[in-house]
Amino acid sequence: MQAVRKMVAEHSLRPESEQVRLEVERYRFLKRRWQGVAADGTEFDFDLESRLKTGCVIYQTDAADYVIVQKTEPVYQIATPTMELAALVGWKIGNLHFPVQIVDGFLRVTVHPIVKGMIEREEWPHEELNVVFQPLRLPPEVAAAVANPTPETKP
Amino acid sequence: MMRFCSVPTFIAIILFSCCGVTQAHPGHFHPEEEIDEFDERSYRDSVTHPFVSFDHLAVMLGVGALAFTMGIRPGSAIGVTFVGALGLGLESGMAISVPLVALSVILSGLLLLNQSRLAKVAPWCLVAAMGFWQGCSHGAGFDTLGLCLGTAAGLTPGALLAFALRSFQPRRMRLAVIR
Repeated sequence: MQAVRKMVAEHSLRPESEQVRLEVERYRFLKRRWQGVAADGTEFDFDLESRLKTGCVIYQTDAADYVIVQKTEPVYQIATPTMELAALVGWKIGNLHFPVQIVDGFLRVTVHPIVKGMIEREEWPHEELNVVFQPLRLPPEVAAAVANPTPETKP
Repeated sequence: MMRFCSVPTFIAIILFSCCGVTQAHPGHFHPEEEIDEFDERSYRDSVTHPFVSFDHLAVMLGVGALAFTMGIRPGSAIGVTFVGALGLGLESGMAISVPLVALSVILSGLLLLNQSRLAKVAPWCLVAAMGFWQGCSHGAGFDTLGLCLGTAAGLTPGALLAFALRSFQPRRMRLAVIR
């Protein structure tokens, strides 16, 4: 079993035929200690110092790069053609405490009957897709600025 | 336990502790919180919360002082009971009403004052209930391990406070509580 403490590289430079995938669910990227098995059967023991990203290399051999890949999951993709609608959709879904992903002209949210009910009630244009869902996360520097506001940033 | 409260009172306490919060906004659903173990702010907040929240601090110091009065082994065990019940309450995800949180603060004081007059099992039950209510009151967003570690660390100042009260107060003023 191979021990992994941090990513080796953000991306693999090798051709896809020399990459071995380890597919995991999104929640795994939030955990520090866990175990996984790559497509070729190699076992990994994760005890992470820092966050992994989908597509990053976790282990290298002479023959291959081992790449961790986030699995796709069903999401609702809501079209937000105007800024006002985007703000409204973000506010209403945020009020339900569901994480969202912002992409150009769309807002993604995980599939759930409560969300489905709201989308249908509000008649928002949407479609159901299977994608790698990467919800919005406050970058550490922004989070720190919010926690310790300077005189300039204080409301 | 029955020396401390009658059967109807005991049943009333059990029912009171099981009641949920009023759902004034039906349909306002909250999904299960995704704990991000890399979010250090969330973990740090969980560890420091017991020291910055008045109700949590009061109950924690009370239980710490109670543990001191009980001696090393029972005191340690009651501390573990409190922290364990707190973790269980937090993990259960149950929502409790605010009066129960207030009741846990009042109980911690009453328990300290009346410990010697209670049946042996009473402090254990009450401390477990107080811990459970405190845990439930936090809901999602707190890291269980962080909150338990912070609370466990906070029991020591309570015990030290009790030790200081016993050691430094004039003999005539000695509180009946801290023997």
